[in-house]
Amino acid sequence: MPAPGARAVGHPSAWLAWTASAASAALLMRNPWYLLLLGGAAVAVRWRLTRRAPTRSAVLLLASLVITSTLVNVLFSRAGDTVLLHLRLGWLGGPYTLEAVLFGAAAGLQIAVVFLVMMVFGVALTPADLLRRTPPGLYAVGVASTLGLTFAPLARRSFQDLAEARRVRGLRAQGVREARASVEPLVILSLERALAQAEALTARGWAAGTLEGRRRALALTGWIGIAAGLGLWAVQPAHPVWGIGLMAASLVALAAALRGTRARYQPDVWTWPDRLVVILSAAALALLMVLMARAPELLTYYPYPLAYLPGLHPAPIAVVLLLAGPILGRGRG
Amino acid sequence: MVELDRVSYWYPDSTAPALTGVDLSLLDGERLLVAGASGAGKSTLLRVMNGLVPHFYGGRFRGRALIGGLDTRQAGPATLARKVGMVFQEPQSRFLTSSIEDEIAFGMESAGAGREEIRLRVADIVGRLELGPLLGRSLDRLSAGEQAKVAIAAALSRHPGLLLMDEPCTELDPPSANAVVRWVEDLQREQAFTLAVSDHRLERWLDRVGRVVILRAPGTLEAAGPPREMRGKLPFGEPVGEAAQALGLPAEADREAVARALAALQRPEHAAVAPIRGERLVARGLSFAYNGLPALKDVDVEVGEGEIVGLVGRNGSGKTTLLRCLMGLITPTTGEIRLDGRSLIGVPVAERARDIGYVPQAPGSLLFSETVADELAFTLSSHGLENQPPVDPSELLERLGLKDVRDAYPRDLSAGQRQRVALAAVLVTSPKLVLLDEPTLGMDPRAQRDLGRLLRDLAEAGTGILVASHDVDFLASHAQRLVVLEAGRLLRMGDPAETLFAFDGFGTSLQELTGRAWPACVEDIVVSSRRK
Repeated sequence: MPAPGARAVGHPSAWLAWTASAASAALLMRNPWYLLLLGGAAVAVRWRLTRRAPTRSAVLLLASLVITSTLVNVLFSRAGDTVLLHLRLGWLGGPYTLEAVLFGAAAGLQIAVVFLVMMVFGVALTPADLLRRTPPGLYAVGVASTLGLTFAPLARRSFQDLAEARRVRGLRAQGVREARASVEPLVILSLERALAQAEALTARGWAAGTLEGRRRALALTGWIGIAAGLGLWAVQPAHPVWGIGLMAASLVALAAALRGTRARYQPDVWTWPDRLVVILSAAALALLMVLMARAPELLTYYPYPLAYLPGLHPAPIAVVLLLAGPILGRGRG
Repeated sequence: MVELDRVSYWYPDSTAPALTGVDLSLLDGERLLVAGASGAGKSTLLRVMNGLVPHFYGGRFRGRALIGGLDTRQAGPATLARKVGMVFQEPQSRFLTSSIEDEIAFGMESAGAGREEIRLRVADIVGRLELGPLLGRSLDRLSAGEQAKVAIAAALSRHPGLLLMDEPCTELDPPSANAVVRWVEDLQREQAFTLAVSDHRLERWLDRVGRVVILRAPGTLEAAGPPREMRGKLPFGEPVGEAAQALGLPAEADREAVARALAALQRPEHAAVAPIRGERLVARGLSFAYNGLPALKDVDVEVGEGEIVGLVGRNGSGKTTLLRCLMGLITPTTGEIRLDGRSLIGVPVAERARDIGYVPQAPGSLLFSETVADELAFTLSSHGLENQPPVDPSELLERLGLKDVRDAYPRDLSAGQRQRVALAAVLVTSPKLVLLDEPTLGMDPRAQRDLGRLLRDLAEAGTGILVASHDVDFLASHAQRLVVLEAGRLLRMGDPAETLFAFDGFGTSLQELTGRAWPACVEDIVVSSRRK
């Protein structure tokens, strides 16, 4: 049983931390074994929260991502020593290599895993969770991210409406051709719905609590400091102390500026499973950063010039295992 | 509270003004009804009062609007939200959270109120507005009437001095709409906020407001004054005013005088139902369940050739589900559907669409082409009829009053025009049966009359028509028979006047005025006088 006031799926901030770590892992890893493990962990975590397996259309979408990426890379990459086929097709022809297939498939798998992580994000957080966590001064970002988060479900609903409307007008299902013709009305319909929500958000005083005076200046300094710290770290990777130090100081300034600016009617309750999710996510991210700094080759997979089987190392597996921790937590089921 | 000084406004990329030199002032605690035909500028005027125009929409704004002493040129909607609450059309599409308390608290959280203050205010508003029994339920599990109440509670949560309501009852069944109107009236008396409301059903509000303003396209304030003075100047007659005219009384005649004259009318003996020429649609024993929850239970319905049948019931009674079953968009778990004697079970939607025209509640979702003419061409080409259309598309557009907008982008049109385009898009194949789901939503009475005339023309040509609607005045005027659904079951069917009168809360404006089943609509008075 969740604690009184606790949400069945857990604290939104805990899931924000998990999403940040899992998405970072998905974006930094290219080794297909780790990506498959991470994708499996994301599916299992989502199942733990919803007791629902990915739908057939989601599986088709993921498969099409991998296939499209592979095909595009095979068609346009001429690198690699293992020639599978040599076609004389003008600019499209030439040697099609095994290495291009493997590289394209790994890239497609990476996109698919990011998508799976975002599916967990979609069921664990609501647009209101994001709005409430948007720091004052970044309201435009809050509105934009809310519209982004609501756009996908709205687009799915709009697609169903459009498909139904076409049947009602006598059109039989036409697969890809129908999907292509639906793009423009789909975007318009979904945007109309998202804009209606944005209008309600505006009319109900969203952004009214924007910081003023010294706190506004302090917050602005904090944001600029964080950006400058990141830049410094990027251009001076050999001396990370300066960049990280600037970011840490800026974070303190930002925290001081944003402290106590907004109350909640029903604050989300932290429970031990939530804290554990944060600890595991932070540990996974820390380990990932260490691997990136010390042994980036453990995460990547580059099959050129000659294809080889990607290796396995316990450290990246540990990252995935840490991110799979919420499987043991509570869910709706 | 409100001081508008020569306010004019143009939407972005529009050369025609949406408002033209509007002067209007509203005192604290005043109640205002904004009347006008579709496209007259009612919604725009309300959005000026909370700063959405021009801050959210952009465009050009001239003149000055002072709301609670704040100039909207400087103060945007976020600042004005402290003083102004707004209830939009289709409130369910504007909810930002998933629980009732969070929805009410959202505005206060945005304003930076303290936790204790928010807690007390939410408890206060839940208590005052009697929302306690709804607490704990998810917003998407509430009925349309309950959702409207939550939207109003959320708008009132910051104790605004001004409450704006833009057609708040459009999607509600008559009992829910009347309950919401009475509830708003009680709240306004108790809390003394200023109220500005727009609605096409003017008679709901006329006796409850202190002033009426009439807008005429392009956003010109034509007249303003107390309801009694405005009755004769309304852009379209409300049913009681029209009844007065039909009886030969002045349009601004006293309601009691109209009631007395109506009561004195003798009902013609054979006034009611026209003979049915033949069975067009026969559906027997239809049942359907959503995720195990029954939505239709063993429903029978018939529509004759050339017959207009009305379908009424509370929100959630199964009207839309029945129409979707008939169209094949969902498959009934039991039952049989026959059109002209041919079974439709197993016939795909696209094939049914050749003989059945279906226009859903939100006709906008049916429109996806570049121009109005293209919409008709799309339907014809889907059926392979582009070279031999059963109906000439140009003639159909002219008949529906769409000739001048044939090259316009359908989604840019007004609600009434969009409805007619959607109708044209399904009528172009000359279907044998037409299914309409809430066709009068967002239409002003003039557009409703045009729609009624069109339906009668179609029926005279032999088309069977089944219309689901909350608009009891529309159904009483145009339907020959009514079917009432309640909780997925067929409750009763029969003559429109008697059926509506017997169904609690569904009486027409004239029935409510007289307390009698007949006359139910102005057409009854006309028929009665013809028979004399």
